[in-house]
Order: sequence, then structure tokens, then C-alpha cells
Amino acid sequence: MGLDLIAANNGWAMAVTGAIIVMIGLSGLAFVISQLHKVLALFDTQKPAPPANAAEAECPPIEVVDWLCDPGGAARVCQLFTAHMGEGFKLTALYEELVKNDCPHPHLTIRAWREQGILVPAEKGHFCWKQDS
Amino acid sequence: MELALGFLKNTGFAMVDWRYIVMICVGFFFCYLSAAKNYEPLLLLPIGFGIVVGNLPFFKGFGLGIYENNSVLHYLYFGVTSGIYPSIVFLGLGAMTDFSSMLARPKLMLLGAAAQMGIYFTLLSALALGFAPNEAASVAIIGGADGPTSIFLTAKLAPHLIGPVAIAAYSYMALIPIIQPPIMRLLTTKKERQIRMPDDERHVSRKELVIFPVVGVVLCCLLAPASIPLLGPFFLGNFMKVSGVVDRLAKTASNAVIDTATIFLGFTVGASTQADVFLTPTSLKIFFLGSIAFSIATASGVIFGKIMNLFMREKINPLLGAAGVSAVPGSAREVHMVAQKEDPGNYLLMHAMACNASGVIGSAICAGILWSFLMK
Repeated sequence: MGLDLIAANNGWAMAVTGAIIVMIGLSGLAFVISQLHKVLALFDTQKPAPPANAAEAECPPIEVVDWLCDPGGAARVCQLFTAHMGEGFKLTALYEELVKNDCPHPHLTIRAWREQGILVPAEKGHFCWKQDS
Repeated sequence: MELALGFLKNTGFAMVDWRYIVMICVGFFFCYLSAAKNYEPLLLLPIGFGIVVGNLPFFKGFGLGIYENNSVLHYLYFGVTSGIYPSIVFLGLGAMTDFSSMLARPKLMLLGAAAQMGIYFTLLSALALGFAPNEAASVAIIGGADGPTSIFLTAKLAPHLIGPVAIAAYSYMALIPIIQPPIMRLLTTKKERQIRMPDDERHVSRKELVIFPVVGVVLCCLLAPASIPLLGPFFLGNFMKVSGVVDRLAKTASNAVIDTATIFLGFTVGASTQADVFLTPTSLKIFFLGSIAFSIATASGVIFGKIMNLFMREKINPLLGAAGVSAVPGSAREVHMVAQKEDPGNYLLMHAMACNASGVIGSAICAGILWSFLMK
């Protein structure tokens, strides 16, 4: 009786067609989305590139830091992404920030900064960067 | 004395019968769930209060009830029966939705499509139980787990079922934490639940975010033009948000506009559940089918996730399929919590939100498809 009612009301066709349409629709949208950034990149590359010397003038030279052998250089890099933490911060927070940014050997690095006086104690158990580091 | 007796006969106390008392208790229960248990309070509170108000007995013919012409409630209810409130709610939803996680992970959109299978399974079940096709479609859309979409389609196809369909849809949305986790656990192994999703998704540019709503509305509405009343405002709201040039409009749409529509939608839908039209065997069938629809939708999303894993090199966590239903953000939150119970370091929320967002689009497309099938 149930199956007859479905067939009599064109239920099978409605269900199958509807399911196919929604699958095709969202698959198509997913495909368009997945290609959208590539198309946009294509348009971006077609824009005239600025003169080479101008680009050089705008970009500062990239500093390559040996993380283990150059704690001072590592500190300069690290200060860029710890700026939001304010002047004083807890070592645990600094550790989490280093881990979050995939910095190698976070424990050893913080210890090196402490031993070399790059990281100095501030008030209330907080630490801060030494001014000239 | 006679006057006093006449007055007493005209009070609600004299006219009340057991059906009204049952419905008023249901209203109290909804109010309790929302106010005390914090279950979907934005929806259940106005609906619960509306149920109480709608079931206070009154003299018929005085223009007081929601089904009586010229009553205030009837005018407010017009927003439901004409599909105005759902469209306005979709405008606000669009202004609140962040598509960046979906744009970064487009393959997860397929899970949003798969979760819509619950709608079509329920369509067949409802037809088998003897519902007319227009009623069956209205019941089936509950599987989309999207209240405004359910109300919109029911208003178009079977307006006499708006009350039970809306109450069922919103009730099951509120019961997500109870309905979904057992199904997710039943269909997945512990190992599958522990699958971590990569965090190194690409950055989505502002250009993509701005272009998406325009492309989305064109593609979706060309495919299912009947979904224009829902997806049109939805993508407009999102376009206003991401364009960044009409912040005032976007903020209004995502705050005052959607809140106002939600209040009137919830209150009038609640008030439409008058005992004499609501307490029928049909309503019980709708509640039963609604639970089936919601469960099948969850299950089909999870099973599709497992099927995708058979063909993909990089496995996805099949729990994400459960977020393909469009109950935003409840189902995404539930997926995240179930995954975290197995592995506290597993963060699936953003991935689940991608499935959720595509689920909203998917259920609106389904509503459009069903409406166009049964349009007279």
C-alpha cells in the first residue's frame, strides 16, 4: 500500500530527481568556489608589474636567522609576532606564541634569551624584551 | 447576579477544555526549556509564549483569534503565510554568515548536499503514510533542519500544516544535542572520530568573499528559481556584510531586522497551534516523520563522509557530515564536541561551520525544488 502510494504520487521520480539536482547544484558551486581563487590570481598576474627597481626599493631585505646560533636575531623576529602581547608578558604566554608560530625549540630559545639577558624580568612575574635587543 | 453569571460564562475559565490545557502545558514546557535550560531560547521562547497565548479560549467571531479575519494576530500571521518573515530571517542570516571556512574547503560542501537526503527519504515516507504530495513535501523539509525554510515551503504548499511543521522543526533543532550524538557515534568508529582535519587551509581573499554571494545567487537560483525568495535575501545579506561599504545596513540586517522578524515569526507560529487545529493525529504523524527526517539527514551526512573517505587520499572526519544539516551553529557545535570527547586536541568547529553553511544553501535549494515540483 505504501509503495503504491509513493508510485501513484510520482514520489520516486521526485525524490531521485530532487536529490540529483541538489547534489549537482552544490557540487557545481563547490567546483566554482575551488577555481575562483585561481581565476582571480590569473587576473592579478595580468596586471602590469611595477618596475623591478621600485619593488626592490619598497621591500626591505629579508633577514635570514639561524635560530639556535643567533638568539639576538631570533628575538628580533619573535618580537614581530609578540608585539600584540604588550610590553610585559608571562613566559608561558610567550612559549605558547612560539609554538603557535612553529618556532623551533621554544624551550631552548627562551632559556637562551633568559641566559643572555635578552629577556629580562619585569613586574608581577612578567618578562619583557631588553630595550636594545 | 445574572450579569455576574453571564460574565463568568464568557470568561476563558468557562470555555476551556482539556485540549487547550494540554497545549498551554506544551507552551509552558517550551518556555521552561528556553528560559531555564537555555535550549534555542531565541526561537523557543517566542514560540512557547505564542502557544500559551494562542490557546487561551475566547469567543469565536470577535476577531480575536489568529485564524479570524481582521484580528491583530491574523495580520501578524500574514508574514508567515505569505513567506515574508522567512525571507527577512534569511536576509539577516546572510548578514551573519561567514563563508570563509566554506570557501577555503569547498569539498566539504558535498556533505551539506548529502545531508539533504533526509528530506527526500522523508518525502517518500510521508507519501507512503498517506499524505498528499504537497503535505508530504512540507513534512519532508523538516529534514533540512532549517525553521524558516520549513515554514516558507509549508506556507506555499500546505498552509494548514504550518503550526505542526514549524513546531516540529524548531523542536528538533533545539534537541540537536540529544538527537545527533548517538547517531554520530553509532555510524562511526572511534578511530574515525579521532581523524584530525588539516589546519593549513589557504587564506581566502576579500575578493573571493565579495564575489561568492553574487556567483552563488546566480548559480543556485538559476538551478532552482523557486528558491529565490530565500536565497536572494540570504546572499544579499552576505554581500552587504562582506562588501564592507554598507556596514550600517549589514548591522541592521543582522540585528534589528532579523530579531524583529524572529519575534513575530516565533510568536505567531506558536499562536497558530490552537488546540482544535493542532491536536490531531496528523500532527503526531508530522512529529514522528520529523524525527525520522532529522535522523536520516544526520545519518546520510555521516555515511557520505565515510564514502568520501573511500576515494580521498586525505581522509576527512565523517562526523562533519552531521553538520551538513543547516541548523546553524548547533549541529557544528555538536560535531565539534563529539570529536573533542574522543580527542581533546581535535578542533573541528571551523570545518563543521563550512558544512553548516552549505547545508543552509542546500536546504533552501531543496525547498525551491520541491515547490517547483508541486507548484500549481
